[in-house]
Amino acid sequence: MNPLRLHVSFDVPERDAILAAASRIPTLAVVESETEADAIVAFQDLGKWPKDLPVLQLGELPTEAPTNVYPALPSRFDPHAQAIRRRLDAGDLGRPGLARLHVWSSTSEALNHRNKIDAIDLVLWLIGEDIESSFGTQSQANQVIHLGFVHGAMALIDFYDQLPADDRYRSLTVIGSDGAAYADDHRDRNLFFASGDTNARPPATGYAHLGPMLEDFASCIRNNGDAAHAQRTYRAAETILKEWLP
Amino acid sequence: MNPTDRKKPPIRAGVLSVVKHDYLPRALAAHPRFELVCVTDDADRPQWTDDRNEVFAKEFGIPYLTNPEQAFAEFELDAVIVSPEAERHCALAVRAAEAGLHVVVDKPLSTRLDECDRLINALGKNGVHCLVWNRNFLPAIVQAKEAIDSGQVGTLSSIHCDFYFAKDAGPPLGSLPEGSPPIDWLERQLEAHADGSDGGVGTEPMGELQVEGIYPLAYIHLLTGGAKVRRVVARTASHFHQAHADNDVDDLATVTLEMENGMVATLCLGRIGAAAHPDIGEIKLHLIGDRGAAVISEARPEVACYHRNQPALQFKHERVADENNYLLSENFARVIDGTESPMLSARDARDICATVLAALASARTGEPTEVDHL
Repeated sequence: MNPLRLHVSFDVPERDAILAAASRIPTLAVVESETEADAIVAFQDLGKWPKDLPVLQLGELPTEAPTNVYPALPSRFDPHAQAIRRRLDAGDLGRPGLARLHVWSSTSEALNHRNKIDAIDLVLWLIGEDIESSFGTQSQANQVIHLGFVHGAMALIDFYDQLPADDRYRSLTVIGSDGAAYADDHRDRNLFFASGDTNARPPATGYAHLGPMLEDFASCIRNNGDAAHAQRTYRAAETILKEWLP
Repeated sequence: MNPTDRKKPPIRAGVLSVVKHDYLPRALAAHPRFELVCVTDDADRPQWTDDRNEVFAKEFGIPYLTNPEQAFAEFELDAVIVSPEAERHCALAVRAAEAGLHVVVDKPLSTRLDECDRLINALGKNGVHCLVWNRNFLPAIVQAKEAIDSGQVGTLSSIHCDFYFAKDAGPPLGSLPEGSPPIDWLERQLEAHADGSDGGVGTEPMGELQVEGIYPLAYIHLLTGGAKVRRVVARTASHFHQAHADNDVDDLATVTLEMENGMVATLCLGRIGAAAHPDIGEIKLHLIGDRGAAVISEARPEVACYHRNQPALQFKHERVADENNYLLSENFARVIDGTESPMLSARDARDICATVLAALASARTGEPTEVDHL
C-alpha cells in the first residue's frame, strides 16, 4: 500500500509539530505542495484547495463548508480521552451515564470558539447518545453547559480562561453503569520547588493527540469516509455552543 | 482554635433514636463537654429499631426508654442527638425543640419544606439551637475555606462540586430475572446497614440528591458565604441500582445552580457503585474567583496502603487527620454556650432542602426551577 501523501498548509499553527507527528506514521508521506498531495491539513482559506482532495480542517468550519472538508476534533485524540474511549468500547465501564469536563486555560485565544466546540464534541462522542436537553449559564469568568441525553445520560462542561500565564487544566470524568474513569490534570501534576511559589505541572502532552488524529484522518480517507457525517458531528456541538454561549 | 471551657458542667445529651448512623452519638460521647445519659425512641417503632437502640444503650451503659417526652423530663437533658430513620429526622427534632432542648440532627434534615419550617419555628420559639450534621470540617474543606477567606482566589464566582459515593445498593440495574418483584426500600436499607451505606434507611424511598445532596450543597453554602440559590437546572437518573429504579428515585444527578451575586455552581452526584473507585469515591471541588482558581480533593490528606490479602472493600487510600466529628461536636458545644453559630443550621438545611426540591422538580419538567426560600 502506498503511503497517503499529505500536504500541511503553511499557515497551520504548530505546523512543525504536525509534520513531526506525520513523519512517525508509516502510512503517511508529507509533501510540500498540494499538487502532489492526496490530502490536505488546513487551517483557513478552504476555497483554495482542490475540491477533490480531502481536507482536515483545524480552524473554524465555515457555514457553507465544501463537502470535501473534515473538521478536526482533536480532543477525541487526547491520550486521556483515547484511554477512556477504549475502556468504554471494551465495555469495562458499562453504559455511560455522566460526563464531567473542566476546560481551563490561561487565555481566551487558547480557549476560543473552535476549542469549545471541540470540547463539547468530546462529551457528545463519549456519551454517544442524541441530545435531549441543553442549558447554559455563566458567572463572571466561567461558562457552563449542561446537557441531557435521550437515554438518560447527562453532562456538565465548564470553560475558564484566566489561569496564570501558559498554564492549562483539564479534568474529564466519565461515570458508567459498571465503572468510572477519571482523567484529571490534578492527579497528573508533579511538584517543583524552586524560588517563589511551589509549582505543580503536568508532563507535557500538548502534541500527543496529533499522531492519532492524523492516523484517523488517513484511515477515514482509505475507507471512503464521509465528510458530511464529520461536519454534522461538528455542527451538533456548534449548535449547543451558539445557543447558550453565543 | 481554643477549646471550650472544659470545667463547665457536662452537657447532658439524650440519644433520640440511633437506628441510622451511630457516629453522631459516638462523636458527641467522645467529646469532653458531652455526656450521653439515655437513649429514647417512640414505643410504636418496629422491632429492628428497638434492637438498634437497645444495643447502643447497652454498649454505653445508659437506659433505653420508649417514651421520648418522659426521657426529656426525667433526665434533665440539655440536648438531643437525633438519628432515626431518614424520614423521621425533622419530626423528632421538632419534638425535642418544643421540649426546650438543643438539637444535633443527622442529615438530611427533611425532604419537606413545611417540616423544616416547623423546626425553625420551634427552635426560635423555645430559644434553642440546631446543628445539622455535615462534612464541612474535613481538612480539605477547611483548606478551601481558608483559600477563599485569605483572598487567595479573590471573590468567588463559580464553584463546581463532584460528590460520588462509590457504594453499591443491592443488585445492579437490570441484573434481576425478568418478573422479579420490586425491591422493598426498607429491606434493602436494612441489608446495607452492615457496611454503613444505609443513609436512606426508612420506609420512604429517597434518592441520592435527597440523602447525600446536603453534603456538597453544604460545601457550596459554606464556601459562598451562604449565598442563596436562585434557580436550578437538573438531570437525574436511576442509572446503577435496581432498588433506586424500582422505587423511582435517583442514583445519579447533575445540577446547575444560579446563585445570588452572579455566582454559578454545579454539582455532579451519584451512588456510582463500589467498583467505580478504590476508596469512598471521587469528591472534588473546583473554585474560581476573580484572582485565581483552586482544585481541591476532599479526600486529602490520605495515606496509600496496598497489601497482600487486602479485603476487596477496604479503601486503598486511608484518610488521615480527619477531625470532622470532633470539630462538629466542639461547634455544637459553642452553639449551646452561645459563642458560635452552627456550622450548618436548620435554616441553612432548609435552604438546601429547597434547592434539592427545585432540582428534582427541574429534573421532572426539564425546565429551570426557582428555589423556594423563606
